[in-house]
Amino acid sequence: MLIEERLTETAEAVAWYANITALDWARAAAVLIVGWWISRLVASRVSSLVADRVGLQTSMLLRRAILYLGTLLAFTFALHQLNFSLTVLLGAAGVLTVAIGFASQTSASNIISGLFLLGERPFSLGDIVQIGGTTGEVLSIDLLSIHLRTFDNIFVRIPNESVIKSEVRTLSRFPIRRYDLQVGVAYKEDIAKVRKVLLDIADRNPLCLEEPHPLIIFQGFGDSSVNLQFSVWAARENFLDLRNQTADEVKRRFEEEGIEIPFPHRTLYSGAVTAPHPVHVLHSVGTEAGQSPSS
Amino acid sequence: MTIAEPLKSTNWWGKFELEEGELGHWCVGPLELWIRRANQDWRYGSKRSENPVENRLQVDVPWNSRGSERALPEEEARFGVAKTGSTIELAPLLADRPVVARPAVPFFVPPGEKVDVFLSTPLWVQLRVGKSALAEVPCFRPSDTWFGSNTRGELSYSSRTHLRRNLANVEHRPHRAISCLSIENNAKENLALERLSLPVPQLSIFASPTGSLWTEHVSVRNEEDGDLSEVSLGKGPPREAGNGKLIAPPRSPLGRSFGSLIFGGLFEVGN
Repeated sequence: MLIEERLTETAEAVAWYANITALDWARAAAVLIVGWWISRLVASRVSSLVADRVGLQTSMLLRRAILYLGTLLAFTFALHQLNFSLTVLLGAAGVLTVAIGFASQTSASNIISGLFLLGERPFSLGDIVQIGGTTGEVLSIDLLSIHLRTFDNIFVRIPNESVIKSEVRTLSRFPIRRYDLQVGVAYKEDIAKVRKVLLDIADRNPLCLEEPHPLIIFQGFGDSSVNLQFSVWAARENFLDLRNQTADEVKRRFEEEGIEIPFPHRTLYSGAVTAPHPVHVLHSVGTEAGQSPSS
Repeated sequence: MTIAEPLKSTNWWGKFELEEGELGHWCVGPLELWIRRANQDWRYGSKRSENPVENRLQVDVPWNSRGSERALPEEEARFGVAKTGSTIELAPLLADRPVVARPAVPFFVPPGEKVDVFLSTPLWVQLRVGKSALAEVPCFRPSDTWFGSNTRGELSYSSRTHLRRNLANVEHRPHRAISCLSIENNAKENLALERLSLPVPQLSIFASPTGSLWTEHVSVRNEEDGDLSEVSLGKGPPREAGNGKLIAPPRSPLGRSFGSLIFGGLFEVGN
């Protein structure tokens, strides 16, 4: 019985294939090409029309959705031109889904991660992000991966699954950023004077925001220095300039004001009563053979 | 000519004539500006002194650099045109972002009181040829500041001068425009004026007969409910500017009514 059914199906399929003329093939191809072309045109027009209002990322998503949907419709119409029954295709889809699912677990995981990313929107196109050890500008957010351009102009593709699992830092989310400069000064220095000089550096730099106020945070007594954190705020676009200028200016002003930035020191402590260690430099007095210099 | 206060009627803004090859030289507060007319391009250079309150006003058009102590700038910007005309225009502009100022000491407006405060803000100089703006240069580059929370707010400029109660304490400088603000407190509690963001891109500039520059009068009314205040702009020059003449329209004219913009955070009295 089963064999008979299969034979009938095969015979129907052969008959269907035999009935397709070259004209049908041409028509189907034309529908597919024209349908794809129209979808592309509509997608591009719609996305450029709404880009200003909804943003770059949403307009890109809209463009892709229109393109994929249009292409699918064109494909369906093309099959219809060939008198192909879509129910056969849908029946086969169930079996295929299981097979493809096993074969492409990674891709499916990436696609689902991609959908979550699009829903959660931790970043948008053009944002500067740090994922794992990579920092760069987001070029595109696709179904399988996101594409970054690093600052040394390298193209990086990161699978969506990795993005979902990693810590993502969006550096361009908020309009202002804080730069923390760790600076150590010698123990002999007057900390009040150091604070005054640091605040003056911030005050003189127009890129340094007056508010939020610059901060000077005591970080502890280090091995060789009193450690301070000098935190200044800047508009996001000026962050790098401020970072470089602050470090330069702190070094220059400390030199001018005679404030020492110490390097690691070692003090030898010889006991409870620390007297200076006497050091004697003795010249070689060995005049006899075999006599070694004493010290 | 260098002037002392009060300002005379000499203006550094307006239209100036330069022959081909001639040079114009302007000192406006801390800013020094050179403009040279060549056959097919305009060239300009600028330099700012370290002192933000420098009070110079000097206009030399044309300027003979020979024998002058002032050296020409090392770097010039050039604007190419088919053929330069004889007229170049300098126009004052207010800052391109709001300016945030504070009173010198904590300042409160008791309930039911109405007070006037004055604030001067720095100007930008715009170079124009015909209808085209060639360049803009600030007379003094104010520090950036942020008005709002760390995640939401507006990048602004910080005013180095404080809000003043008495107009006599406000120096009339050629590179600054003065705004008069009336603050009325209709709430039942004191209004603490910790800081104030003045939306200068929405204000115009008026020149008084003495040559000092003013913006419109700004009125702020603090109402009973809420942190936001109602703001309105006066029409024409403020009373203090006498018979002032409009010399520069706002950078960003208000498209909507001022009242509706208050709720977009356009103008907030410190909280």
